[in-house]
Amino acid sequence: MRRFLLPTAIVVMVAGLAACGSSSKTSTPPTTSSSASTTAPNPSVVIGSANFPENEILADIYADVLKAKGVSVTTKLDIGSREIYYKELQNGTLNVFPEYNGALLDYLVPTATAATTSAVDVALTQALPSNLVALQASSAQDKDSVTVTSAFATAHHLTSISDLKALGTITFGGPPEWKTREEGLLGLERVYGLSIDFKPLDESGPLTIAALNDGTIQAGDIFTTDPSVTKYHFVALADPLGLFAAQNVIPIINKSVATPTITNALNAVSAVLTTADLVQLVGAVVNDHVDPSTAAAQFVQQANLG
Amino acid sequence: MIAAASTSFGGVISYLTSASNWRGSSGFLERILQHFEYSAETLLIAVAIGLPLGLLSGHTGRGGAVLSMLSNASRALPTLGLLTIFAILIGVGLEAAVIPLIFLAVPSILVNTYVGIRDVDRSLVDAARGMGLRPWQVLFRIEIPVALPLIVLGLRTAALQVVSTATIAAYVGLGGLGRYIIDGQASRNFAELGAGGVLVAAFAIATESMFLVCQWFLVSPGVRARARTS
Repeated sequence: MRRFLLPTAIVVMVAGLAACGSSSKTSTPPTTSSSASTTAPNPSVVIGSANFPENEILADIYADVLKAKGVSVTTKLDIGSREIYYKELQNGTLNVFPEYNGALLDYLVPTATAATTSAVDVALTQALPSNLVALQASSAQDKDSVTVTSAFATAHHLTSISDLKALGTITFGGPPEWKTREEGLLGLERVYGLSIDFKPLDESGPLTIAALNDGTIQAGDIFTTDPSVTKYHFVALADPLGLFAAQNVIPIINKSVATPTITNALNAVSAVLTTADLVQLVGAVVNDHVDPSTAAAQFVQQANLG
Repeated sequence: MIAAASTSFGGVISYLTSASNWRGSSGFLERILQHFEYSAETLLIAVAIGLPLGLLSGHTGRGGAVLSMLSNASRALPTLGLLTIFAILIGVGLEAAVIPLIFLAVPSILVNTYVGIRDVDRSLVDAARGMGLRPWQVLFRIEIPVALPLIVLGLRTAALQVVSTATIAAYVGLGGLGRYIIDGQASRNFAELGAGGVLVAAFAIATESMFLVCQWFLVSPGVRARARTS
């Protein structure tokens, strides 16, 4: 009996630690405040995010401002591509999501031509199903891009994506899903008439950045708010034909959670969030290894949202 | 749910049986060849590293503990993590994919070879020395033939692990059967994803069968019988 005491204790400890570790991504719901006195209490909210730092930070910002208003919040972070998380938003598993208006519109209506923020917002509201609503878009934009190194841009006198056509077939690196996306390989070939040798890597991640730096790819999909752009002096080529539509950060929520408290809180975030904020936040998390929830909390405090 | 499962299963079948998916630079035939290329290159290098080391240390009886420790450590390394590190260090390409796979393959070959040689009946080795055979001759004429079942098992295990894991090459823009799995997952095309999985499984079974046939031919009947009863 004595012999088994130590091993059993170790196993129980490890199991306990594992259980603690696995629940670190979800937040514990706070007690609801007494501010909503005559109206019904706010429904509990499940905020999702995609699996890149900026979207995680945005979800954390939304979580912080809603919790400050006394809403019960759980987060479901790090979900894969839109093909996966949109389904969960549609069926109610998630009810708040920090989306990008242009990309979502393109996903819902592949033939959409709206390119400016206002046009995209209007088209998006029409395209969303009846149970989802788009709140106010922020001025902050995070777009896909066709990005090259500054050396490459200078050597070939490149300022816009159209300039690439003169180079013949170019090797391009991006996420695997670009092969079938209009705002991706299909659009670059159809709208700009480019001939592309595609290398499926990651979505503006370390592989694409490394490949761009060592010349394995001549151009890559790097997000406009990615910290690598300032770190390695990348150049995002201009998009005169508007292939990459406006990509303003916009909260998409389920109508069942569209109470005044929740919509006002999320719109308040949209009102103050700028692209420069995104660059700074993502830089802090990726370059300086700040925790996304910490960076989000700092932003909420500095912007007086919480 | 059963209807949904059968339509996705049907989707996989039709993806696999559609003739156009077999031809061309992104067709099944091309990708199977690429997958074979990555696996074969990995195994050749892994054998070149693991086999001599295993034979030497098995024959001399030295270094077994160290090699065993290194092999276990190597087995614990996450192959996908190594892939990302190497892709960032030496660039995206074939080397970044093959090196992690070598880390995966060498332990089986090394340890099985070492154990196989060590397990050869000492009296056989003594008798051989007594007959005047030199160390080289003892190794190649006695120890290796007797240890062959375990050595081939090590090769077979390594080959199976490599063939199943060579799918990770697709993460760094390469081809191979992993391409269908990763692209299918990224664009939620379950037919493509399932087809990739089926092809990898079939490739693995084919590899296993090939090694079983090789083992049957290579291993001497007397040793085969002894290995069965031991």
